Amino acid sequence: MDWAELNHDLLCQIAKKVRDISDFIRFRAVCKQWRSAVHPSDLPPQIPYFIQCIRSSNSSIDFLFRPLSLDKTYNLTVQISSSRDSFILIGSFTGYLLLLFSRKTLGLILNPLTGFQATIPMEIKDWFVPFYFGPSCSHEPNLVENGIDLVAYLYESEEPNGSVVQKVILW
Amino acid sequence: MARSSTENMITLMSSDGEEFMVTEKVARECTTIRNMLEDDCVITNIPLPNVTSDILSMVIEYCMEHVAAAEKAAAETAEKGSSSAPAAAKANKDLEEWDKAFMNVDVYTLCDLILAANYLNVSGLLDLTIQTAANLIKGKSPEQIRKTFHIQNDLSLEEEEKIRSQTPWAFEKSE
Repeated sequence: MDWAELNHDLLCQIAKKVRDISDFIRFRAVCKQWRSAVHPSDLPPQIPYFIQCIRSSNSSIDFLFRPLSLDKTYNLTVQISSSRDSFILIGSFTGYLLLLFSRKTLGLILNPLTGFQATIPMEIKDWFVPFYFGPSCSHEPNLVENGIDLVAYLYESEEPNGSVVQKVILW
Repeated sequence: MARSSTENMITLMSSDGEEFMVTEKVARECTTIRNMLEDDCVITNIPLPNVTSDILSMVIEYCMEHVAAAEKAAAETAEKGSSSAPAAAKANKDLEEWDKAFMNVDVYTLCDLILAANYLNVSGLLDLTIQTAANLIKGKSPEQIRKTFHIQNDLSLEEEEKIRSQTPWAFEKSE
């Protein structure tokens, strides 16, 4: 029996067991059959990565990724269209990063691996704190796999009438 | 215990006509066969046209080992009233070692074992073989994976270039 002709279901089971995203991507680059058997959405939940933003030019941000499971780092440059302001990285969830630009009226949801980005207006006056629901701040892959990871961001926002209210974004 | 003398024996026939006599308990490790036995309890001879004798003998070896390990654990529990944790941990470790040694096969055999485990629905063996295949893939470039599994590259240069350009970081050479 030829490995290239293994049925899609079994190939998919193997791809799900390689776990790491770079192995998963390389799995899909082996041959046509392996590529068509496994869809990008079959990627198993990932152990969190450390992410560092190392530079920002007018139109791009450089990211440095380091998986918890490997000693390797990945460099990634992402083109952004929204702003030339400086920014801070507020947090992440399921592959998306939340960036806040210095004028603090604009947030950016960015998936650095797929390039997906969407700006969100944020009227944030003062402070911004991520906190967690459930046992999700643990890096236990089992907990992440069980889908109980839910992050909330708490922030204060100034209303048009001058009063300050607390708001929460669920991620 | 007079269990072995009263145990039903089942004959499994491979695609190349070889016959394997196994206890019903061992045969029941294969969910596909268990379902057949539950539908028709007088069945004693089961043809398996999708499995060759080489592979079937390996599947049977796996099932026998795992049935023996489960029986041993059950006997110890019955004897002492409760299973002792260190002994159970050692038994588990021994079985893991046995599995590991059992997986010391070439990639063609591994592929046939995956297909047989899937067809006969032996979940433990399917997990083991799928994990073994995944372990052979981890950390390798697509070219190294093709070489390991003897796969022809049927992607065009353009297709390959396009795949790489989407996520160049995943194709960086690991130091």
